[in-house]
Amino acid sequence: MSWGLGSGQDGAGYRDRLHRLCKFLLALKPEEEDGKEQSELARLQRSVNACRKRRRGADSDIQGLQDLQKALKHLERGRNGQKETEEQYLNRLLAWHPKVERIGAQVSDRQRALDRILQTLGIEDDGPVAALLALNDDLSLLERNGAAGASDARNRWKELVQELIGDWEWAYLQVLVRLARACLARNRLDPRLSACSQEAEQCLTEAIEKLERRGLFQPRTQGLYGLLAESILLRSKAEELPPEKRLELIQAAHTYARRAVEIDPESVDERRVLIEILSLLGDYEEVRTEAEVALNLDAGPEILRSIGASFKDQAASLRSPEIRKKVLQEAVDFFEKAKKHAESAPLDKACPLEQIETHGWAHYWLGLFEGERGSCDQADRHLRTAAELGFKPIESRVRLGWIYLEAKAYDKAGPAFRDAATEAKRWLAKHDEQAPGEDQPIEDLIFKAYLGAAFLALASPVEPISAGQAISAEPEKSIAKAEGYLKSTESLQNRTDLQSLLHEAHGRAHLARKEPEAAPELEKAVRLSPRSSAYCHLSYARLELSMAAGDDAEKCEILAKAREAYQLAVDLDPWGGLSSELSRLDSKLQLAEKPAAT
Amino acid sequence: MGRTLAYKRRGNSAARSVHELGPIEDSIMFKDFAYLARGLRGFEDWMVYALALVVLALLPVKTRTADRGVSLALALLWASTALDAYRSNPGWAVLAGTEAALLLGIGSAWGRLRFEARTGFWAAAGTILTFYSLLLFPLLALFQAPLFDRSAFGAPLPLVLFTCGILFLTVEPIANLLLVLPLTWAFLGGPDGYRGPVELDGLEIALLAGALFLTLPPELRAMSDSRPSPGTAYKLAFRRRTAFGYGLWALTLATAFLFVTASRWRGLEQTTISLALLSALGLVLWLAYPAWQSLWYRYLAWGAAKAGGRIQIWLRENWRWGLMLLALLAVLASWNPASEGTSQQTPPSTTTAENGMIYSIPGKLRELLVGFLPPGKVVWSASAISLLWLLLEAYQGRRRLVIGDFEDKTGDSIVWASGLGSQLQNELARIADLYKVIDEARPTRKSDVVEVVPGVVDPGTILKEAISTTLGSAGFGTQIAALFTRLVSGPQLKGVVHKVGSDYVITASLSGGGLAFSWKVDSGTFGEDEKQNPADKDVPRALLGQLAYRIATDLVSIGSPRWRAVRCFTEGLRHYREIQRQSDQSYKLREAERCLIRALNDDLRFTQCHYNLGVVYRQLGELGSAESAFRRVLRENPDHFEACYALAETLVHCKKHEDAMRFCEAAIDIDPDDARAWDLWAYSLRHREQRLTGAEVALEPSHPGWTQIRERKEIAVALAWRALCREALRGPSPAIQSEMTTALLCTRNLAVVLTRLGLYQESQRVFQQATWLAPHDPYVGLYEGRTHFWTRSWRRAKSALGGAFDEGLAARDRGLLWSTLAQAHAASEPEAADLGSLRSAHQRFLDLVADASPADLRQVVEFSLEAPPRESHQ
Repeated sequence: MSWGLGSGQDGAGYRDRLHRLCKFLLALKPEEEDGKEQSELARLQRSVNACRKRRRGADSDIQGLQDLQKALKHLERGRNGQKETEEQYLNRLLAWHPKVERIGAQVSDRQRALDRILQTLGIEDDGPVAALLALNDDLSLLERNGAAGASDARNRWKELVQELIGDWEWAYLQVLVRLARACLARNRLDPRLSACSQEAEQCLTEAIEKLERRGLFQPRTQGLYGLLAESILLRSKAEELPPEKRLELIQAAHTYARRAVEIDPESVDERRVLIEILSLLGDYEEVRTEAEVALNLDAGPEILRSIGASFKDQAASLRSPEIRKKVLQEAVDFFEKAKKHAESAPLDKACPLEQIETHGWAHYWLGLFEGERGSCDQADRHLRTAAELGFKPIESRVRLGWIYLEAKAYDKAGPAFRDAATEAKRWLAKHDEQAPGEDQPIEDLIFKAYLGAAFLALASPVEPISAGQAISAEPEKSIAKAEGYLKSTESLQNRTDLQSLLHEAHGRAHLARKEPEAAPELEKAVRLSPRSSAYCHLSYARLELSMAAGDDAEKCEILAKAREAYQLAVDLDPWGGLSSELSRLDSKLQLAEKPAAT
Repeated sequence: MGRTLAYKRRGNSAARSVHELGPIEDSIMFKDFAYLARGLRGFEDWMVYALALVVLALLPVKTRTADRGVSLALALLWASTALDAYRSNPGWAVLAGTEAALLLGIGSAWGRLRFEARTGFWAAAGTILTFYSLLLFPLLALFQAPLFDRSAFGAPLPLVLFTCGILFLTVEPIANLLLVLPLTWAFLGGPDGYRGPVELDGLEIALLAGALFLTLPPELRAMSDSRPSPGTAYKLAFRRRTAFGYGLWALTLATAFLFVTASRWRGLEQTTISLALLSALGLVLWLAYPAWQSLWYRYLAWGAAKAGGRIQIWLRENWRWGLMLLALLAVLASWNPASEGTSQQTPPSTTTAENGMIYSIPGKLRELLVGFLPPGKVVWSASAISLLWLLLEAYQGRRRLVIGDFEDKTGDSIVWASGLGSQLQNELARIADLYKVIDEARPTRKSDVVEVVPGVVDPGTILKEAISTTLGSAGFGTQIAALFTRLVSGPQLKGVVHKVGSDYVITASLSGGGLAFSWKVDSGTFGEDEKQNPADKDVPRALLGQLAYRIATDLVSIGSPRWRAVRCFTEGLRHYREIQRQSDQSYKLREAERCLIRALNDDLRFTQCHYNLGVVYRQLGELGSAESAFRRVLRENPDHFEACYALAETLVHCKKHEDAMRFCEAAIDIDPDDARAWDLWAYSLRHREQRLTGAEVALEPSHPGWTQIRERKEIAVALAWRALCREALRGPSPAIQSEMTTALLCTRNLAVVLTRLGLYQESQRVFQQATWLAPHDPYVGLYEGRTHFWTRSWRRAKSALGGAFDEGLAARDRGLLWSTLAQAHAASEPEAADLGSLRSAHQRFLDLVADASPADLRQVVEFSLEAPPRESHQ
C-alpha cells in the first residue's frame, strides 16, 4: 500500500505520501530558477527582478489559484457529504480527474498547469486512489467469503480513505491560504480593489477555522490571523461603506490583530497591522509603544509607512501648537533612529529593493516632519535623498515644493514643482511602471504640482520661471493645466479636496485681479473642504466686495460675512501658519468696519 | 642507588686506576690532550678514539665520499669491539661484527647513508649524544668522576650511544636497519662484565631515543630538510594506531609477565627494565595522541580532567595546598620507626633482594621521605613553605601595579586629584574586564562547523590586579600583598595634576619591577573624539580615561603601540560584547565596525583589529568584507591561526570549498593541534565532492573521498577532546564551554559521517558520546534518531527523536525531525497509543512544509525524506 501509514519497506509508503504532498506544494508555488550555479551578479539581478515583479503584482496568479480552488472545492464537497460512502467518494474522485470542469475559454495553459498540480496529488490510473479501489474489491470478496480479520482490514481500509480525504482537504486549505495572500497582495497595490480583500477575508476565515480544527499550527506559524485582520482593515477602507459598518469592520480587525500579536509577538507584520488599526482608532499612545517595539524587532518599509502615517494623522488632529510640535519632534526622533537601523542592516540579497524602500521611507517621513516643523533645509535634504534613492520620486518633489511654498521660500518652491512635473511626465511615459513607494496615482501628483505652481505664481508673481518649462509663471496657465488634469482623469483620490483647492486657486486668481468672481469661487472651495487659507482669502474677497458695495447696510452685511470668514480662518488655523496674513486681514477689516459703523 | 650497590658488589674489574695508563703523556703531538691521553689504555684506545674523531671530522663535509668515510669509520669501530669481545663473549662479538658488516656494506660500499640532518630535533639529539660519547664521557672517566669508567669491552667511549647519535643525523629509512643491532645491544644491557651505572644509563637513553626514532616515520624525522605536509604526524598516527596499539599491548603484557615472574628468570633483570622503559615510552606516546582515538579513554579522561580541575581549584583556594602539604609532612614525619624496622626485617614481595636491582616502590618512597624529613624537621618545613609563599608573592608582586596618590598642584579650590588613584585603577580594571569577558562569545552549536569568535590578548595580571594604595575596601590579603609588593619594589605609579592656563595636565610615571614609563596627558591637546564625546566633557574623567589607555597600551601588548587605536579597538569590543544578549544585533555591530575601522585608521597594522573586524563582518553576513579582513590579517601575520581558520570558514559559507580546503591546510600547518581546522577540512572536502559528483544530499558510501573525510574527522574528534580535557584540568572557566562546543560539533559530525558510511554501530557509539557531552542538544538527538531509523530500530529512533525539540532548529532539520519521527511511528505498525504521536508529528511536518519557501521546501524534501543508505560491512 503506497498511500497508507507506510508499514514495510522502511516506511516507503508513508514517505511517498509525504513526497506527494510536498510536490503538490512545490507545484503550487511560483516557479523559481535554480540559483545554485549562478553567479552572484545573476542572483542579485534575479532578486531585483523578483522585487519589481512583486511591485507590479500578478493577476494571473490569482486566477490560477481561483481555478484550483474551484476544482478542489469539488473534491472537498465529498468530504462533507456524509451520505457518500468511501467507495463512492473514491469512484467519483477517479471519474472526476482529469475531467476537471473547464473554466473560461482562454485557459488552456492554465488548465495544463492545473492538471499538473492536481496530478501531484496522485489521481492516476495506477495511483493510490486506484490502489484503494482495487483493495476494496479484494476486501469485498473476503467479506463475502466471511474470512477472518476481514472486518479489521475493512476498518483499516476506511482509515486509509480518511487519510486520503484529509490530505485532499489539506491541499484545498493550502490553496485557500495562497489565494488569500495573492488577493491581499493585489489589494495592497491598489487599495480600491475591495473585492480582493473580501475574497481574502472569506478564504482566510474558512482556512483558519478548518486548519485549527485539524490541529495544525499553520494559522500561528504563518500569521493567518494577521492576514485576516489586514484583509478586514483593507475592506473597511472602501469609500462606499457607511461609517457604522466601517467601525464594525475596524473593531473586528482590531480583535484579530490583537490575537495575531499575541500569537507571535516577535512578528513585525502583525504589529504593522495593529499599528494601522490603532491609528485609525486614534489611540496614538498605543501606536507609539507598538512602533518602538516594531522598530526594535526589525522595521521594514511597510512598518515605517504605517508608523509615519500614524504620526502624520496624530499631528494633523492636534490643535495645540505646543503638543503638535512635541509630536513632530517625537516623530523626527523616531525616524532618525529608524534611519540608523536601516543604514546598519547588512545587504539582504533576497530583497534588496525593500531595503532601499526602508531607507526611502525613513528619509521621506523625516523630510515631511522636518518640513512641518519648519526646518526647510532638513526637509530638503531628506526629501531629496528619498527622491535620489528612487523612492517616491514625484511625491517627494511635490511635497518639497509645498513645504517651500508654505515657508514662503518661493525661489526654491518653483524648481521643486518643475522637477516634480518633469519626473511625473517621465514616469507617465512608462505605462506599466509604478514608481516605488508612490501611494498616490501620478495624475494626482501632477495635479498637485500644477496647483502648487499656481499658488506659487499667485503668491509671488515676480518669481522668474523660464518659458518652455513644465511650470508656467502665469497662474492661469497652471490652473488651467491642473483643471485639465482634473477633468481628464477619473482616478483621482480625494477628489473633493483637490477640487476645493482648484476653486481656491481660481478664487485667488480672481482676487488678484480684483474681480467679483473671487468670492463665489472661494465659497465653493470652503464648501467642499473648509480650510483656513480659503476662508482667509474669502474674507479678503468679501472685503473687496464691501468696498464696491453701494449702500452702508449692504456694506455692513458683507463686512459681517467677511468677519465671519475671518473668524473661521482663525479657528481653522490653530498652529498659526497664517497668523501674519490673518492679523493683516484683521486690521484691514477693522479699518473697513469703523466707517461702516459710524 | 641500587645499581651502584650491585655494581660494587660484583666488584667490577674495570675500576682501575688512571695510573695504569701508558707513556703517551710524553707525546709532543698530543701534549695538549695530556689529560685525555692519561685516560687511554694504549695504542688500541688511541686508534678507537682517532676513528671516532675521524667520524666527527667528516660529518660537516657534505659529500658522498665523506658519508662513506663516516660509515667506514663506524664500521671499524664496531669491528674493533667485535675483536675485543671475540675471546670473552663470542655472542656480543657476532653482534658487533654484524653491525660492522652492515655499516661497511650499506654505508661505505653501497653509499646509501647520508648524514645530512643539520637542524631539527633529531639533529640536536644526535649532536648531543655524539659530543657526550666523544668528549664528556672520556673526560669524566679521565677525571675519575664517580661511577664513570670504560665502556663495554674496555672501549674509551660508549659506542652504542655514539652510533645512535651519528645515525640520528641520517634521513634515509635504511638507517632503521642499522639501528636494530645497537638497540638490541642496549635492550640486553650490554655484556655482563661492563654494566656500570653510567654505561647502563647510557644504554637506556640510547634505547629510548632509538626506539622513538624507529617509531617515527622517516617523513617526520626529516622535518629539518624537507617540510612534511601539514598534520602528517596526526595522519600517520591515525593510520598506524591499530598496529601501535597492539604493539604497546604486547610490550606491556610482556613487561608485566617478566616483572611478576622475575624470580624464576635469572639474568633477565636488565631485559625487564628495558621492556618497562619501552612500555613507558609507548605509554607516553599513546597518551600524547592515539589514546584520544578511543571512546573509552575519552570518557575516562574527561571525568578525570574535570575532577582534577576541581581539586586543583579547591587546593588553590585559601592556601589549601599548603595546608595539605603540611598535613602530608606531618603524617610522614609521624610515621613511626617501627614500620621502618618492619620493612627492614621483611623484604617486600615484589623485590629481587638478592641482586638489589628492583625495589618495591612504597618502600623506596618511605625510605626517601623518612630519611629526608625526620619528625623534627616539620617546623622547618613549615617555615620553608612560608618562605616559598613569600617568594612567590614577591615574584607575582613584581608584575602587580601599585597606583599611588596623585599630587594636586592646580591651586584650584576643588581638590579633584584626591581619589584619582582609585579612579585610575577602576579604569584599568574596566579595560581588563572587557578583554576578559569577551570570552562570553563562543561558537554556536547550531552550525555544521565551528564558527569563529573574536579574539583578544590576555591583559595579564598587571592590569587585572592593579592596586590603589588609597583604596580602603581591599581585603586583608590584598593589603598584605600590596605591602610586600612595595617591599620588593614592584611597579609603582605616581602622578601629579597641574594647571597650565585653563588646561589641566596630568603627568604620571611608573618605576620599579623592571619597568620605567612616564606619561603626560593634557586637556589642551584633546582630539576631536574627546571633544565630541559628551561623556568626556568631564575633563578629569577624560584625562584619566586617556591616561588609562596610554598605560594599557604601554604595559600590555594589545597589538598596537598607538593608544588611540587601542582605545577605539576597546570601544569596538565593548559594542561587540553588547550584542551577545540582544536580538537587534546589526546596529551594535555597525557601531563595533565603526570603532574598529577608526582603530585601523590610527594603526593599519593592528592585526587583531583586522581580525575582529572580520568577525564583525562575518556576523553581519557580509562575507566578502570578512574575507578581505581575514586576508589582510594573513598578509600582516602569516602565522595567525585564527585568521587562517576564519578565512577558511568564511570561504565554506561562500561555497568556495577548494579555497577553503587550501586555507584549512595552511591552518593545520600553523597549528596541527587545533581540531577545528581538521573538521572544517573534512567538511569542505565532503561538499566539494558532493558538488563534483552532483549528489543531492550525500556521497555514496563507496565514494573514495570518505576515507579522507573520516580520517580527518577522527583526528578532529581526538584533538578536540584532548583540548577539552586540558582546559578542564585547569579548572572551570568560560573557555571550557567553547572547547566543549568544539568537541561536541566534531563528535557529532564524526557520528554523521559514520552513519553516511553505513557504519551504524560505530556511529551509535559516537552519538552516545556526543549525547553524554550535551544530553539535551537537539541536533544530536535528531541525527541519532535518524541513524536508529535507518537501522530499523524504530523504538530507539522514537526515543531519541521524542526527546528533541524543534525550537531553534533550521527548517531543514525541523523537517527531518518531524518526518523521521512520523516515519518511525508509521513504519513500526503503530498501536492506537502511537497513532496520536504519529498524527502529531505528521501535522507538524505539514505545518513546516506549508510555511517553507520554495527553496527551503525543496531542501526539506531532499533532506528529510531521504531513503536510508545501504548498510556497510562493519
